Amino acid sequence: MQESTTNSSFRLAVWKWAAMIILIFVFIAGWIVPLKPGIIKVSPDKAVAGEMIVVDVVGYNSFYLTDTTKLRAWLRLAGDTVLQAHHIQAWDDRNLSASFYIPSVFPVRQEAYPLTLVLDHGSDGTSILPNAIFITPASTQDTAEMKLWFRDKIEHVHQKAGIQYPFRNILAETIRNTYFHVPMWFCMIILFGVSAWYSLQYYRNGDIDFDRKSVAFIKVGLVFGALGMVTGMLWAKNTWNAYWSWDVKQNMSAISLLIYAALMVMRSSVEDEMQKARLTAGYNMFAFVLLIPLLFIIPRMTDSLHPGNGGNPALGGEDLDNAMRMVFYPAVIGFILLGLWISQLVYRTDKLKGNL
Amino acid sequence: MRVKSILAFLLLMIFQTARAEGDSSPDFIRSIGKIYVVAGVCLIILITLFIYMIRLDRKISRIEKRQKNE
Amino acid sequence: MNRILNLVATEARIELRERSALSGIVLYVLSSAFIVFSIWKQLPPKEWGLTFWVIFLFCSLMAVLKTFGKESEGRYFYYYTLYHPLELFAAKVIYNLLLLVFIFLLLWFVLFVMAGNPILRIGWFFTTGFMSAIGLSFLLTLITSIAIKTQQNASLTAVMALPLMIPLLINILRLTAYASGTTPDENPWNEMMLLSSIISLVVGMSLWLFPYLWRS
Repeated sequence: MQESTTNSSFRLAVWKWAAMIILIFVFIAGWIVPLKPGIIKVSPDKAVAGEMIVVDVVGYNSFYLTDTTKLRAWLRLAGDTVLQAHHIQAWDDRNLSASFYIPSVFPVRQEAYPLTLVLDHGSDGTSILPNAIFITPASTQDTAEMKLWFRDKIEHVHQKAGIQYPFRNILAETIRNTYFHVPMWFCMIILFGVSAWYSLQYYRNGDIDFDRKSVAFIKVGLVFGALGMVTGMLWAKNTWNAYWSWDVKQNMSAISLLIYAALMVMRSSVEDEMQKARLTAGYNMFAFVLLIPLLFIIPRMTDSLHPGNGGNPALGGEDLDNAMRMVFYPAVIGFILLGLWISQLVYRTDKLKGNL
Repeated sequence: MRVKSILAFLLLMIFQTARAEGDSSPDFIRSIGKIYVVAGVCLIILITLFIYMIRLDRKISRIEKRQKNE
Repeated sequence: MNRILNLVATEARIELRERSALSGIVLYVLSSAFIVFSIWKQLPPKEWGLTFWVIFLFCSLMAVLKTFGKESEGRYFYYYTLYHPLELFAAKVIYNLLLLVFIFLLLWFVLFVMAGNPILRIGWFFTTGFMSAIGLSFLLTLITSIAIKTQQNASLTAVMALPLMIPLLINILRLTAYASGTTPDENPWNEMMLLSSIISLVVGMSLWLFPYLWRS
């Protein structure tokens, strides 16, 4: 980290300006770009096969009234087995009703049949609600109705124009937290890494200044780690319904925080400065090397609620689309730069304090 | 001391909202597509970073004062 | 090598001269196993593995801390002038390894007597136990050598070592689950590879860092 020796308060290093501009962009773009239309609720969510049902659909960010003739809806059992709605009536922009006939026989045999609702609109694009309606089998079955499953196809669907974040069931607007919660972890790992690198420098030439640097980075890394944990808990409470789900990634991050907190405790209980610096450097390098399998290998081998691995009900398939990438990557870079900046300030303060 | 009281107040607030939204029925924090969760996350990040910066600022002021006295 | 073995022998002789040391560890294992078992009453295979490793972890922490705790400042200085740090480290690690293997076998025997043996693949279980003893003896020796330089060494060893043990522990638990047949996973070689790579990381790092940390 270069030291800026300027006195003028506005003559900052370029990367500090970059941090500010990037973060301002992230906070604005993260908030104002709307979500794609989606489906919040379907009622009823249970039905019996072999009957005509009328489904009330509540949309999110939708504009059903703009072009009612282009509304189409399907119920999908799996793959190509779909039922198209006979009639769709949009009541307002957020509410519509669709009627379906559910055949009394099914191409596969199960206890209950979860059907996915697919809605296509000329300007809103396609929205999907997985497992929208559960169908219980009918008492009398008419095998002639089997062909109904194969009559319709989902085709000629539309795409919503413009830049929007995807709507994901359960997540809804909290998908924006990707830009605020996730970079905290990236930032923490980078700061700990920089700190381990300074520890290596201290190991090489024993300059106490490197010790100060590595400790400053650990302190700020701990703050970012704690932020990641608290924000993650708030998010988890509202999507996974528990503050702490003993998810792999949650555990690993808690462990890494514990390790570095232990390092700070260890530092505070050593009197001798050189001793303190040497023990810190040793433990720091040891801990960082052990953190690598902890953070990067073990989570990959286990199922996680987090997107990207395992069976996650909230995010499936494509986790980041292009619109999100345009904000997510800058967010990561911006928060990392901010973390480096704050650590540099902490280091400079500690240095001043040490010199007095 | 003041920082501590602010922290305590914040904690209290967080727990209050936590208790308030403990029921699973859609309520304030989950209305409008759970947008308030995003607001909460942003606020937590900003407030924590600001408190951290304020602490740093005070530390530097103390050092400056000590420097002047010498 | 001879010098190292010599050192191990000295260490063992000092340790065994005081009967209380070894019997203290035996009693620690027995009583903690008894307490945990009296809470559980009956141990299903899955919980058997968990209980086993939790007790093993704490016992080994205690035992390693004890081997360091008894040495006075003067003796360290004496050692420091006589032996290369790596020789010292090797001696400590070998001694602790023997101790951990002893604890492992003792604990296995105790739980075997009290709660039965749910382990189906004994070979896997013992390999896991031996590997974890290697990993833990290196890790604990290094961490304890850091912690004794501080004022409050006993609590700090636990605080600093426990989170670092967790990557090892996760793999050990998975391998134990495989050994007792409580997991559908039928390919333990991945886990074994990961465990051995973590252990080699621990070994490499501690061999590199110990001479540096020992200086004072």
